[in-house]
Amino acid sequence: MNLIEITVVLIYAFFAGGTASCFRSKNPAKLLLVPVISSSAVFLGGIAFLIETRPENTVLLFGGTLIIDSLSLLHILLVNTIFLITSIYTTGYFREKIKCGALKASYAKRFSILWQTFQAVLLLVLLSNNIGLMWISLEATTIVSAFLIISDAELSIEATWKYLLICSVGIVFAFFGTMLTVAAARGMQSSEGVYLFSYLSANADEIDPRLMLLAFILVVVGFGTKAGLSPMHTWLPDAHSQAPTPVSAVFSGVMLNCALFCIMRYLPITEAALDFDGQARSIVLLCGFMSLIFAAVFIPIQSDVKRMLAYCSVEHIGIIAIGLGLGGLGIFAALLHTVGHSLSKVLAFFSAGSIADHFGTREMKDIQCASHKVPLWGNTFFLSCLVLMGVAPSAVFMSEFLLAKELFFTGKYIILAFFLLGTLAVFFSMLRYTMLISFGKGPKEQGVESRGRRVDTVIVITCLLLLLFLGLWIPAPLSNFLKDAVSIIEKGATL
Amino acid sequence: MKSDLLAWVSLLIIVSNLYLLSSSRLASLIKGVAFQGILLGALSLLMAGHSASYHLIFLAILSIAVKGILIPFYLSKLVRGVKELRDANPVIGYSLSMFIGVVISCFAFYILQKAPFVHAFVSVFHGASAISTAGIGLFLIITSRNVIRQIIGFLVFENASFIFGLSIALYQPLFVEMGILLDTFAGVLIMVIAAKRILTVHQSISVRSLERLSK
Repeated sequence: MNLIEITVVLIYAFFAGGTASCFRSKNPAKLLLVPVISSSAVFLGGIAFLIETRPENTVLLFGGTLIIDSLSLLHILLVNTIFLITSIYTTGYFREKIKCGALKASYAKRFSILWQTFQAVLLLVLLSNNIGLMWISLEATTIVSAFLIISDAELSIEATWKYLLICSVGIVFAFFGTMLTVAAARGMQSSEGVYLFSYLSANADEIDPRLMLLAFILVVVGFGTKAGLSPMHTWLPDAHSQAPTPVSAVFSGVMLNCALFCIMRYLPITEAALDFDGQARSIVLLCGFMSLIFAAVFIPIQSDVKRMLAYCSVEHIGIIAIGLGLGGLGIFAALLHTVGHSLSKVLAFFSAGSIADHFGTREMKDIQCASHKVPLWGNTFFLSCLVLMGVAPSAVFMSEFLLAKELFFTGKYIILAFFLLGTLAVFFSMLRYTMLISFGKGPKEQGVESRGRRVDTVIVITCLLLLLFLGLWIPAPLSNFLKDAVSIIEKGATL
Repeated sequence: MKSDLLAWVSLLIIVSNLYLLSSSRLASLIKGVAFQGILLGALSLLMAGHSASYHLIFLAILSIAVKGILIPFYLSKLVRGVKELRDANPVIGYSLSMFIGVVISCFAFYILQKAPFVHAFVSVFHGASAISTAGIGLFLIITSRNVIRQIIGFLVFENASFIFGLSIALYQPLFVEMGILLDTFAGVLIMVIAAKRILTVHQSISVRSLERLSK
């Protein structure tokens, strides 16, 4: 067992230990601290991966069952970061509820156990080199996370049901795609290699192109359902709006990316099998384009702040898919957008959730002047939404600019026109809501009602500075890291 | 001989799909889906004989235990708690549903001749049963007025993936096969628990009680 494999074992040992410790405890405050400790340890594990593998290397683990390359590493680091900051936020978010007795020990126990298991299976999706294992892990994320959505609210059961049913049906479609991929690769010499992404990428010219295309369509439908790509996104606004805020944040911040990551693994294999004729990319491009348009149409008619953010996720997943569909610089922009969207969306959900709890409603018309009453979250909501709208200088602006540039220089003017139209429509609708919530007319004489915790302020400032920094300058090591990941999406995970 | 048996079992699966479409009582639907689970086990056993794989024998036993016994047991328990009419009550009538089921099954045979994936299956009957089961599973989900019929529809749809996976699963590592089956079991179990919660909160299993977020 090498050093990286030991790190993987240690990470899962931490998850197992953390989960087991939750079964014993009955104190809600202590139970909520366990995910903070385990996600901190796992965060360090992710850093260890970065040091041990060096981004430009592709490393196979446990006989090729798992893989670490720059594409998976980027997503692993993102998942670990989002889970760490969300776990810290969660302790404060539930603090008031513990104080007034609204949070029962049983809920805190369920939350902590499922939360850690959820992160563990999400990481397994990213580490999988076996196509069957990837499918199992992604299906497991649905099973584990379904009961994170349910709260005491009556409507949350409806959202859970839709999430369970739609995502499970979608995942079965992905299973058909997975099995068809194996069928398409039947002619290959290694009967066991056909289950491994690394082997399929290296021998993609031996794959049956027609069957692989059909498999890819099913994979996009299946994993795209979980990623929230239109028109399969219907579960997303309900689940995001009804789930407790930390759950909405990780759903939007990382779970959608992980599902899209699965498509990223299949994309180079399909492209290579089809002799790089661009058909597979066009399918992803079409789904991305539809998502952007759907979001642009539905965001203006929302009244619930978390639903608006959910549709905003559909828009951004669409933008990432458009980048993947374009190839080259578009993929670079898509990966940068993934980072920018995750960080800013998590902040947006934190602030929206805290504001909604403070005002006792999620209806945007009833929330005004939040920056005055709850300055930390009111201002964070405004700034994170500005980033999500693509205002310069920010990481999201940079990636959208790169995407528009790629569309322009590849001569895709019609798509460019719709892309600009869609993002502008989202910009104006979100700006109206954001201004109203943060600075709208309201009784200012009441003064500041809640200042927020220092640790939350540190998280917010760090994330916002990072988003600003990435909008101004992409350091060479990060740029090279992203370029390595781009080459994996273009050529596949080969050794 | 074994090929003939495989074809017969595949045909029986198609017949069980049609039975599910025509069942008016939830209890009959559960019996139908349990029977289909046992047929899947039989199919695995026959495939094991076909390819001399112990791996498939294990899968057959698991399939019968999970799909033929455990899941129907939990579903029956859930139905016993329902005080309202225990009728399947689909959106489309039973005769029309049967007709659509027959059309889907014929279409499955037709598409198999045309599509590039015919060689992915052991036989035409085997392939047609997978496609027909997938189509009818989706139809059951879409036309359901209550959550239990939706769960059964999902189970039938998932059975299609099992039939499909069987023909390609020979070299799949055992832990992956186990994972797939356990995932299914866990998925359906979670659905049953969620359905119980719906019943507790809304005092009904009707999907109409789950339309408030759409308004």
